[in-house]
Amino acid sequence: MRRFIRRTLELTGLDMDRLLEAANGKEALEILRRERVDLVLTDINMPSMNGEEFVAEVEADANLRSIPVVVVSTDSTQQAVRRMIQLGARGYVAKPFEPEILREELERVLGVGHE
Amino acid sequence: MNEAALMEGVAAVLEQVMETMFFTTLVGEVDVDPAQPLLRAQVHYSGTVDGACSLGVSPEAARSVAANFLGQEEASLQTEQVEEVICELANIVCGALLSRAYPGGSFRLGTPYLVERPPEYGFGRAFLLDSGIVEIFLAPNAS
Repeated sequence: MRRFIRRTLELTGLDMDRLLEAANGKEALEILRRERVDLVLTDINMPSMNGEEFVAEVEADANLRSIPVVVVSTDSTQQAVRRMIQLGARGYVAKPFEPEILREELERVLGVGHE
Repeated sequence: MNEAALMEGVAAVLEQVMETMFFTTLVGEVDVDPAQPLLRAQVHYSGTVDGACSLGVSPEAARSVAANFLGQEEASLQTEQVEEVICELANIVCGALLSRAYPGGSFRLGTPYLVERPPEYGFGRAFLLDSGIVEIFLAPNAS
């Protein structure tokens, strides 16, 4: 899925300096604690540390909670979306999605407009 | 469990998933010969309803959708990459089906894994893609 996301982000034309990847929430937290990151995209269903635990950890860390997290998940039930937003996620994109949908959500979360 | 709600959504969900993320067109519904070899992945779900969703793809279609999903030439694909993409496809289809059938529900999806054959009970439908066949088999309350 990460490969698809990378390709989709490239297709959207979003201006990105670089894209860092993590296999699960634990790896992502390690990256966030040593790199400067503008935004995180995460799935919910992940090994080791799932998306719910990851978002909660980010929100609980004063040094990380300003980093917006956008969830990309197959689960588009109202309860899942509500739960992730309550935990601290700033955006939610349900799979399947068009590249445009992902770009619009990222622009909304980052507060940048498409010219 | 409302089996009809799940099955009604199969064609629409599959069409949307294949077109938006795998760049493949659903041509129509077909009958599948049980002897037809399929690369098959299965996902267990639990929550509002429990069960398993099994998705099988004919070998030629599996390579084609994997290449589309990853943005790679078919010839450059490793078997493991094709298998991973079919597992991801099963995950996306299963999640989208459940979300559509039970929008107010709550679910946990397991990690998709490869299987030789679909569950022994349940119901399925098969569809012709522009590159082969895809079959979805749903087994409510499968353990």
